[in-house]
Amino acid sequence: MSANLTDRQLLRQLQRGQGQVLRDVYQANKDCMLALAIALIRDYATAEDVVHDVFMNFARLAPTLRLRGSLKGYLMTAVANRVRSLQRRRDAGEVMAERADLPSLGERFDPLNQLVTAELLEQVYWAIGELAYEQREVIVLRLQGDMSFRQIAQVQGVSLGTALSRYRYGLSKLQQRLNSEAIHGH
Amino acid sequence: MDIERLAQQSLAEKAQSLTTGGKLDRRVIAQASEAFELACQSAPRFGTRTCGRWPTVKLVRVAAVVLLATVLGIFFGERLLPRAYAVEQTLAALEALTTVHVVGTDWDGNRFEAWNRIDPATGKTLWCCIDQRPHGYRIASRPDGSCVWDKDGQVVRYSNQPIVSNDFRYTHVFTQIAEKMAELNDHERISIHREEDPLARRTLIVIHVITELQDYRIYVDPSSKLPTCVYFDRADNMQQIARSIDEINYDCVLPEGMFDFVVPEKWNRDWSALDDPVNGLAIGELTHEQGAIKTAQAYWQAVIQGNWDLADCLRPVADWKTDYHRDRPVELVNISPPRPERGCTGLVTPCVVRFADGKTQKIELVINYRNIAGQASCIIVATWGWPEIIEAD
Repeated sequence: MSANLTDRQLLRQLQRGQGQVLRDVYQANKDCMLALAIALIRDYATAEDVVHDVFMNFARLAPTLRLRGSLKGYLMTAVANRVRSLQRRRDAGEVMAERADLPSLGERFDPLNQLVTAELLEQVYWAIGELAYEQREVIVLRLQGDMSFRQIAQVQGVSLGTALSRYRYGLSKLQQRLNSEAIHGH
Repeated sequence: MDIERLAQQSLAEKAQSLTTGGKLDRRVIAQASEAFELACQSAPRFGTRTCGRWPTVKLVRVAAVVLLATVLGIFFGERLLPRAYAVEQTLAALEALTTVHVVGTDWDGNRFEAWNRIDPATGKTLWCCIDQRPHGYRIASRPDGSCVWDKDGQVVRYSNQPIVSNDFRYTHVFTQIAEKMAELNDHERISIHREEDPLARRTLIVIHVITELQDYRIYVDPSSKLPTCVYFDRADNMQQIARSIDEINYDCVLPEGMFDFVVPEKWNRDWSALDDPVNGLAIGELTHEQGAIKTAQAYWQAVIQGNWDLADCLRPVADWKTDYHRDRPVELVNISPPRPERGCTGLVTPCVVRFADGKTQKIELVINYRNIAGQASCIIVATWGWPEIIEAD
């Protein structure tokens, strides 16, 4: 029903007290929020908690919220901020999940002709998870969250130049890691 | 396949295989609905009454003070507003301030605090400190330079350039409002009304400004004529951190040592891009004014031609790629003579630029003069005020 409404129209309906719109907003954004949280924190249960917390906060703010960009952008930024806040409280590495916790990409591919691609993508996904958190965050927010570098810099509380550097360094490390795995693998 | 595309595809493929469980969905929707109902009950319900409005009519030049006073006089009369209000009264009250402290909310919903100290001799906001604690980010600027503390990176970045455009008195906003009152175009509307603040049991004057690029409300105390809060409903292309200024304190005592450039133990120290001799445009024997024009010309040509490396050198601290990615400048129409401004450390250089969508905007660049090891150069440090749509005749 509300699929054709713009974000601002949805928000206006919420601000008129139409609470049922919350369900539509949640359904439309929950999987993106979860995927982003998992890509950042690599722990399914914690990622679900992040989705829960972020959406609860959104529900509390919705009656007075003033949206600057898109609703999806707002929620994605909130997920990044929430994960960041959790991340600060934990020791590095503590939240990394075992590979078995998450569905493998290979399950979604034709095992005969797509095995190599699926395996490569799986390697890349986990290599992203092994980057330093700041670099991983820039890469995930940029490539999955579709956020501008300026937004990312705001999330990280750093200058635009620092965010761009982290992105470049992150990709470079990713490339090095894959090259190294390719060499050792053959 | 390059690593960037590979990473993007990898993240996208993994995302498609993930979904929240039905149990979580039911819990979130139930609890969020409950939280929403509670929030609705406690949300403020101000009775808004619009008392003066100038819709899409291009007015002749009339003194803003007369126009505002007349409209308020008609609608409020003697009963509601015993004295007529004029924007100039706020401008005069702002001039007399010595310090300002604000508590605001940024566009991500995070709180921040900022302090200004005003130089009594010049009226300029030469000292500014912004603290964005959730981001671990703090900026201090004083006449001889500025300093940024990046808590996450554990680094302090110094610059010999003060940071401009952080005047939380919003003097430039009131100046623009006064100017707009004299001549509104088809995209602009200014309404003046009053709202009751039930908690403080007082009436506030509300100035609601809507232009094609902005939509904001400023609440003004009718007795002091000073702003009490500011809300930005929309602020496209504005490069400002505040979504709202929720609390403003005037002439308060500032915390001691807030403008000291101290490096915490074990932190690194770095220099800002504004002090990098590689950045900026060498101007040789040119004056600051001539250099500012030359720099503005070079910057816009670089942006128009998509020469982002050069544009980055000339304006290193702005996210111009994001600003101009969707809405690309296609022609530099003209550059007016640069001018000094109160509260600004560089020269304000007005540029009229036409964009790909056919609209023409006036964008004022703040251009600083540098002398690094005997080499004179100019560098763009900020924009002054907000962009304005220029009407085609």
